[in-house]
Amino acid sequence: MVRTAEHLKTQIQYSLLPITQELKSHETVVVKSRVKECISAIEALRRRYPGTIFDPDRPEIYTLRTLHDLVGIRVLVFPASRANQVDSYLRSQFSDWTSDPVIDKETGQQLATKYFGTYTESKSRLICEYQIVSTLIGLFWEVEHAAIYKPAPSLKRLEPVMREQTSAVNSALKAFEDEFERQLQKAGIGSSNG
Amino acid sequence: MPRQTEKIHLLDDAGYSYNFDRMMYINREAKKAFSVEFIDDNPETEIRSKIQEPTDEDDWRFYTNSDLSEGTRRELKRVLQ
Repeated sequence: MVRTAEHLKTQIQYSLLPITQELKSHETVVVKSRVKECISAIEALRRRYPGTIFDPDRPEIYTLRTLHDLVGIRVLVFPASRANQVDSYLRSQFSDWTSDPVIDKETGQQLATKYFGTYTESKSRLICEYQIVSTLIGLFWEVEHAAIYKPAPSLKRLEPVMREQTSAVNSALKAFEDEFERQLQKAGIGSSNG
Repeated sequence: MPRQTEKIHLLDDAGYSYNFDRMMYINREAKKAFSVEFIDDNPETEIRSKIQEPTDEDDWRFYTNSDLSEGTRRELKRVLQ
């Protein structure tokens, strides 16, 4: 899985070279990869089922290979207006992957684009995913995950009751980005590919 | 106020509490449990109607997006005892 993650990350970085080579000084595009840890994968599979219960009569129906994010790539983009451009470039490379955007369930607002599909370049033919998210929101998710969920993957079950607060943070970060871009446009130094 | 939060307040007011292990809103007295997905995907009116729905007092009623197998239902009842 580590090799698959490195392979996919490198392919995505290569695909984005036309963008990353023309970034302005205030702009960034960072590609990160991660392999889901075993305990997180089991927990993610468990959360898919009502009551987080595995049917004891049918253990054969459960497999970690049904998870879409055993290998995941996150592309952090700043400012957010670059995200559409990154999305277009990667769509041309992964046109048969399925769109599964990250939606804020409180506001209905789309927070990130996300796609999953079988990565045919890898021998294991795993289902992998990549997502494109603004840097501020992506880094918030990293901190949240590292501080809360990573030490105890079962704490992911708290997400439904933390939704209102998480949504408020996402909205505040998005408002910051929108205003930042508005000011850049006003000053005539916005991204040329908004 | 966001709609999802309104549904949670509706459940809170009806005596349901979030069960961290099961990821369900549960009322042991009413013997009813709602999955988080069911709450997300159904309107407030539907949740309200399910809360008010009369039940067989001896058996649990589970509100989920997918049908529960007999094994899952049995296991859920066991862990909720």
